[in-house]
Amino acid sequence: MFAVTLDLRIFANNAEQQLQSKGKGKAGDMLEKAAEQLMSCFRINKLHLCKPLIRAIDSSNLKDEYSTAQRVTYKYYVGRKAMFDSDFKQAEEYLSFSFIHCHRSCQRNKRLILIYLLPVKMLLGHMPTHQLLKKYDLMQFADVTKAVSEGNLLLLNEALVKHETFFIRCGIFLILEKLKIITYRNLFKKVYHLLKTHQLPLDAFLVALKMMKVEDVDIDEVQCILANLIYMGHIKGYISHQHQKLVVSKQNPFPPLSSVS
Amino acid sequence: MAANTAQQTPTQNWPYGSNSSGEGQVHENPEWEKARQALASISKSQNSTKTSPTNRTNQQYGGPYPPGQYGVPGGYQTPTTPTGQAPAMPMMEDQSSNYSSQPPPPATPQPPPQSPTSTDQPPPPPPPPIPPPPNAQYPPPPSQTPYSPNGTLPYSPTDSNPMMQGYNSGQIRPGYQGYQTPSYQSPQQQAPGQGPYGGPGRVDAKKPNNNNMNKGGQQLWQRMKQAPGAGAVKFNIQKRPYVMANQNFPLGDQVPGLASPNANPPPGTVATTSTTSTGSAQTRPQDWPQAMKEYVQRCFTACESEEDKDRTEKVLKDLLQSRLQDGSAYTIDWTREPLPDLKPKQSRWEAVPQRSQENAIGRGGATRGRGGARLGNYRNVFSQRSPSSSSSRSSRSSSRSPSPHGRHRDRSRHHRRNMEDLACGVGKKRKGGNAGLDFHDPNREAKKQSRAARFHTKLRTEPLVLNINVFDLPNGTQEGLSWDECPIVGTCQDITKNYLRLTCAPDPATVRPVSVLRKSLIAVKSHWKTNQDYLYACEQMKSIRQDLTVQGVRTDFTVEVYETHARIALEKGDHEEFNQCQTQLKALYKDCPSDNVGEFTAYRIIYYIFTKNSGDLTTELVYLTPELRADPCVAHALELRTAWALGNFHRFFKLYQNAPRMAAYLIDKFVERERNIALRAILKTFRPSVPVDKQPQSSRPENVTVNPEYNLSQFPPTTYQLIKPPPAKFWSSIMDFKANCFDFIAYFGLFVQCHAHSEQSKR
Repeated sequence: MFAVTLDLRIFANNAEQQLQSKGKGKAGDMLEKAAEQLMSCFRINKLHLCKPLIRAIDSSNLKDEYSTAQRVTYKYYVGRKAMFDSDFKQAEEYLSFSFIHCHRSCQRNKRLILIYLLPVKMLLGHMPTHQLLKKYDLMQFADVTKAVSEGNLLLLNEALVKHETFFIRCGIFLILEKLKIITYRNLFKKVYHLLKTHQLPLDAFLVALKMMKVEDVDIDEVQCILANLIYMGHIKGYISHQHQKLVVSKQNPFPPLSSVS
Repeated sequence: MAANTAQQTPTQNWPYGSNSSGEGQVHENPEWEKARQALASISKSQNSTKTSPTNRTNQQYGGPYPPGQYGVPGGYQTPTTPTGQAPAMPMMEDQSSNYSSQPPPPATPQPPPQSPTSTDQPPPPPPPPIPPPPNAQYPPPPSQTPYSPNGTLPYSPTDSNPMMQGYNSGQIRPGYQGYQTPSYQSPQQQAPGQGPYGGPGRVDAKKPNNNNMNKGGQQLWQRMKQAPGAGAVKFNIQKRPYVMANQNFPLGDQVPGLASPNANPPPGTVATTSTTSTGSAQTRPQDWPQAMKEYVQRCFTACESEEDKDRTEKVLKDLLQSRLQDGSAYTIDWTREPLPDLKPKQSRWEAVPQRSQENAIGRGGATRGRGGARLGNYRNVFSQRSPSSSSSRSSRSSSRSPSPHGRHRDRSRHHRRNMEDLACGVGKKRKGGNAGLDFHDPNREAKKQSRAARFHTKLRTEPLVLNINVFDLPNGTQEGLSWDECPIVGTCQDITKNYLRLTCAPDPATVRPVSVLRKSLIAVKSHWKTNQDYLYACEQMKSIRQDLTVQGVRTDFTVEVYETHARIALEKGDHEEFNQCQTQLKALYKDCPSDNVGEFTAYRIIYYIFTKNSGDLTTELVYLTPELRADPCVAHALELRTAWALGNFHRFFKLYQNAPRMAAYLIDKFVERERNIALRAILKTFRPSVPVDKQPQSSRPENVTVNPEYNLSQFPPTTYQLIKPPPAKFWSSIMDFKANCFDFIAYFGLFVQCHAHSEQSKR
């Protein structure tokens, strides 16, 4: 049914766009229709359909004519799409805009935006405050936030399992899993700070992980994780297999998350 | 058709042959006449073969023609071909000429035994030469007018006409009747379907053997005639009698449904419906008598719901088709025609009979023509018996309910019917027989063929069984078939069959029943084990799947077939085919869970990883039940997914090594991709060198080709910009690994490009 709706919307939108290109047409509604179409895309889980739509809207040059409400809605969906594409910078930009410009009274809308904004922000290293979470009744994220900032893998795992249904329903479960990497990074950063040396034995990480009750990790896996972190740029350094050590850069071995793409 | 009233009316209305028939049929002339002639001929021949007393008179034609009965249809080509109905025309004419001297009154008695009598009557033995003239005449009136004296001879729903004139009309009528109703037992029954033949015969007699005629109808018709055991006849039984289905019977707007069945008669459906084909080809709404149109309107207004309307539509289609075929449409008093009675609870059965009817319509006009003539009778009779809209429906419904019993009952009735004359009483019995026949509609086609081939009257047993099997399946599968209006039951007995994409309704003769498919599956499996011929196995599996889909079979066996095919595809790495199968399995598991749900769920998850379909992956995770998660395959797949998502290639490769069942084949599809990513990361992070054995054993690609000539200096320095230690040291350290350096070089070669590429992309 959604597919049908979507097709209708696509058709309508195309019609509108055609009208618009001819100079007539209700430019004001176009964004709204586009947003509705995007919503349908999400509902039927066919995000690839969003792309042409977004492209069409972006290419149109009547952006200023739209009301804020429409823009908020549109950016919300575009932000979500960017999030699924792992384009977190873009996602953050759109969703932040949406959140900020969303009317104060629309608590439900704000909450929805926040649901998607939070993981993105967390992936970029910005943790939400407790008050914020409380305000919007998103306490599911509380444990997650805490775990990530502390590098507490155990807590993170528990939190994810506890609220799994909620996260899956929102479709952010898989993205929250990416937070695990951030958690690893934070954990290893703690190790680094504890050891106060630039040559960190891999065993230290192993111990740290074992402390987090991560089962059946071995040295190879540790190296694997570290390799990933280095590859992604979260750690500046290299692994010396001969010495079984992680050698980190003397300057800024753990660059801030926001600077890492 | 109001059986009795219609029969009566034809006598008066027969002049319709001159009037309305002329008018109405002017448009459909060639086919029309042919059909009538064929009907007449068939009914004559049938009558001759049948010993029923009522057929005595008929036998005047039938007698001399025992071989001729078949000859008639055979002679014409029309019976066998859609155009076969044409011969019927000549037959009719012949009869009419014979009977023209006879006053209409004698003809009157004929009406009652519409189908039964006709079935019993030996098919009118139209002299072969006759067909041509009707062709020339084209418009039915010429052919029909002779009948007028006989009253509703050809089209009156006289089934068994003991009378002479009755014979004439009876011959004709039965033919039509026989064909008309799907229930027209006679033609349909495998029993020496004399009655039916009478009907179709008449139809055929009416129409010269034009090539335009529905071949299917003719053939069907032909088959039916042969069934009674006439070996002498030459049949042009086409493999696909329903080919004529493609011919469009411009039925017109009033009953749009009618047109469609004609257009796409599922081959599987049996003959009864085929009767409609020939004659109906040219009937158009504007040709219909006004009374008929009003009748149709009344039927629709009587409907209360959309469902009713659909059913009515179907019923009317058959009804009108048959009537039009045999011309009785113009002779029946539509104002007195009882409205179709729709039984909601019989929807499943109705759907099938309807489909078969429709198929028959599309397929072979001849049979329908015959049946049509008798439809009136049947309808009345049936309505007495059970309030079903169409005789076919009622008979079908009733026959279906006690299906196993029905079969036996029907068979006995068929025999009885064949033997007995087509008096009204017989009509009733025939009704029962028809009921049985109707029940076997979907198989009728196949049965006829087999009958024709073997002249076994009891051949039906097997298809009957199959029929039941098919219809015992969940309703949804039947009605849900969008492209196949009627789940047919196949009769093909080949173990192997080539796969061809279906472009039209399937022919039951080419569709294998489930029992055969089981053997096919075993054969394919053994062939695959020994030969590993994927193309052959794939094709065979596809054809098995196709046969299952066509027959609407969604059982454990279907699940097994799909699972087998999926596994074969996995083994060969054909992920598209695998995806098709597993999508189908996903739907099938809802209906028939099997033991391998966990296994295939795991495969599905891994497939989503392969296609990087995070949306569907999330959805899949959502719908994972706890017990499903506990399944070892699924648990493994979930862990694999976690490792993959986190980039934990160590764990990923470890899991890959321990993949349960056939997951490894699926992981193979993207293991290289993951390996590349892993090696990239390793190469970047490990410095100054990476020991080869550090390469996770699991991630070591097989068949690494060693290239000792590999020039290390070829490696672009830019690749290692991030690597601080000087490249020289790096390379020298690599060279130190004498034992493994070649291996490592191979590794390098393997992914240095991708590394460089990734570096570039990273920038």
